This record gives sequence, structure tokens and C-alpha cells, in this order.
Amino acid sequence: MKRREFIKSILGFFLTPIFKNEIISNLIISTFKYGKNKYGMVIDISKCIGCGRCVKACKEENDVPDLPFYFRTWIERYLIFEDGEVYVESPNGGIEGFKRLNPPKKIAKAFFVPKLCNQCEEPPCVQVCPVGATYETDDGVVLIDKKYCIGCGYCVQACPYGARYFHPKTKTPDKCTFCYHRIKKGLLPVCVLVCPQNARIFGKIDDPESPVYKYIKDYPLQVLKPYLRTHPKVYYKDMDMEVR
Amino acid sequence: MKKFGKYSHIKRLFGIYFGFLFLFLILRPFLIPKSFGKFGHYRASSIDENINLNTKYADIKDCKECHEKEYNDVMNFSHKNLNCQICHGALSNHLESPDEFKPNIVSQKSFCLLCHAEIEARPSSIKQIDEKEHFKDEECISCHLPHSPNLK
Repeated sequence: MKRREFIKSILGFFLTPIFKNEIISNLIISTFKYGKNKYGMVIDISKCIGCGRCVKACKEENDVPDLPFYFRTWIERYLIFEDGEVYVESPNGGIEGFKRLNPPKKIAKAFFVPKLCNQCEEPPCVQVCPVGATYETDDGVVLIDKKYCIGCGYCVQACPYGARYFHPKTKTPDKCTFCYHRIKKGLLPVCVLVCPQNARIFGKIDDPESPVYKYIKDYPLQVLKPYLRTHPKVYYKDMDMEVR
Repeated sequence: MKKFGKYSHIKRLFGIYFGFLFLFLILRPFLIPKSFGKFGHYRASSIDENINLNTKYADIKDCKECHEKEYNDVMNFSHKNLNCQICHGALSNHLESPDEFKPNIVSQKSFCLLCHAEIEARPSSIKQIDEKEHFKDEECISCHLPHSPNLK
């Protein structure tokens, strides 16, 4: 063996595990970050029928303006055709339901995806707020301090899920709070309350009594955009990979 | 005649600097909100402000006390999973003053079709009708009662 080869193999022996580990740890995307005593929601996509009652109730409960169309929660319909084309629509957020489309191409699969603020563990919106007007509470809900907000709108841009909108009356951003004023009084969030199919499941993530805990234990779940490592606390069951 | 000393410009600069620093330190406690920083980089009292918002949707058990017949009707049929407020709207007002605020009564076909129209992507677990074929000129409620949706 030549000296050059000898040195190479020695170096290789010691260095490859280091680099390999680094590569592997970059590939593993830990989606679940279980906080203690934190609220979470599971959305069962196979159960959602796209009636839009959650959108309607949310608007009523939280004074979300009807026009122009702003939403704290909305429903998207995904149609995946046999040639692989994907068609996504959300007419008025689904508040008036969905119509029959009769597309010319054959549909391979189709489903509804309700969306809302993902209540991230590492919220990008909180990071960018220059004055500390949006924050995450101890129980894991991201809230907005509307009195202290200066209305710069950075958080609206920073949200990768498009969950925030600029409220035309208060002149501050607004978004889903898991109905914080309800859950703290022992009530369910209003979208969970009115869902006729129980497609939304709500509770504490680590509480063995809560239905969310059972869902997390029993079913494989996904989150939206896991590669951003925002660690959302809204989990989706039976989600297709086309959903973004 | 020497008007300015050798370092007088620096002294003046320091004077201005410390003047502003002094002002800043005096004003700072007044400008920061009281509860700011109690739990983190935010106003702690904002949590209470968020909690104290009014709820508009009531709890489903509240309906049973006055409307026991309707409640039992719903519970015995396939609409038993449905909250009263899905069709009747937010009812917290109605709970407080039942005569002043009346619940919505929906009987239009379009409302039933929100859930029961046969459209793409709707899972087959729910009963669906083709609105152009299934008694297209009739209203739903002429055959089905919403509280007990089996045929009359």
C-alpha cells in the first residue's frame, strides 16, 4: 500500500461517519414537537364533506368581514385528474358550499382540505414582529395584541400558510386563535362545534383524556410544509401529497 | 482671543449625547406598557383581552332545557351528530333573551344541498342526491323533516 492510499483510508475511516451523520440529520425532518399542555387540532380529510359551515360559523363568531373575502379558516377542494393535473379551488373560501363542476377529464381522486392557522411551535410571524404584538402563549396558541400592533403587516407576509389577513376595520392583522376566548371558558372552537362530520378534532396534545391525543397515538398524521420546520400543531389525517 | 477650547466640540457632543440618554431613561418607564415582558416579549394583559371577547355560539346542551322534543327528535335520527347551531345560527343571544333574538329557521333547498348535493370530492359516507333529478321542483321539506329526516 502506498503512503497516499494509507493516509486516505485512515482519514476516510474517521471522517465519513461524521459527514454521514450530518447528512442524515439534515434529512430527518422532525414534524412533531410535543409541547407540554399545548392545544392542537387534527383534521380528518376523509371525513370533510365541504359544506362550509365551519367557515360560516367562524366568520360569525370572530367578526371576520364578509366582503372582501377574508378568512380565518377556509376549505379548498383538490381535484386530481388522471393525467396528473391538479386543480385547486376555494370559491369564497367555501362559505357557500361547492358546485358540481363536471370537468371534461376523468378525475383520479378528489378531496376537501380545510385550512386554518397552523399554530406553529416556531412561528415565523412571531419572529418578524418588530414590536412584540404577536406571541405564542404557554398553551401553544399564537395570538395578536391588537392594541399594541402598529399594523406594518410583516407577519401577514411571513406566514407560509397564508393564514393571516389584514382586517380592514381594526387596521391590524387577524387570524385564527383556536377561538381562544372559547377554549379558555371550556368550550370548543366554533369550527369544531359545528362540523357535522366531526372532521375536526380539538384538545390538548399531551392530555390522555383528549381526543387529539388518541388521534396522534392511533393514526399516522401529517402537517403542512414540514420542510419549513415550523412544527405546526394542526395535524392532517389521510392527507394526499399534492396538498400544499 | 480664543473663543473655543481645543476639545470644546467633543464636550458639546457628549453633552447632547448624555442629554438624550437622560431623556430616554426618564421616558422609558412611561412608554413601555405595564405588563410587557411578564411572560415574554409581549403585553401579558393582551392574553386577558383575547380571552374576554364575547362568545356567540352556545353549548349544545343548553338547547335541551326548553326544546326537549326537538332535541330528542334530532337525537333519534341520522342528524344526531349535528349541533343545533349548524342550521339555526349562533344562539348565545337567544339563550340570554329568548324573545328578543329568534334563531334562524332555514327551509330552503339550497341549504340542504350544501351537504347533500352530489358533487366531486364529497365522500360517499354521506347521503347525496343529484339536484337535477331527485324531485327537482319540490322543496326538501315537503318530504323530509330536518329534525327527523326519514320520509314523512
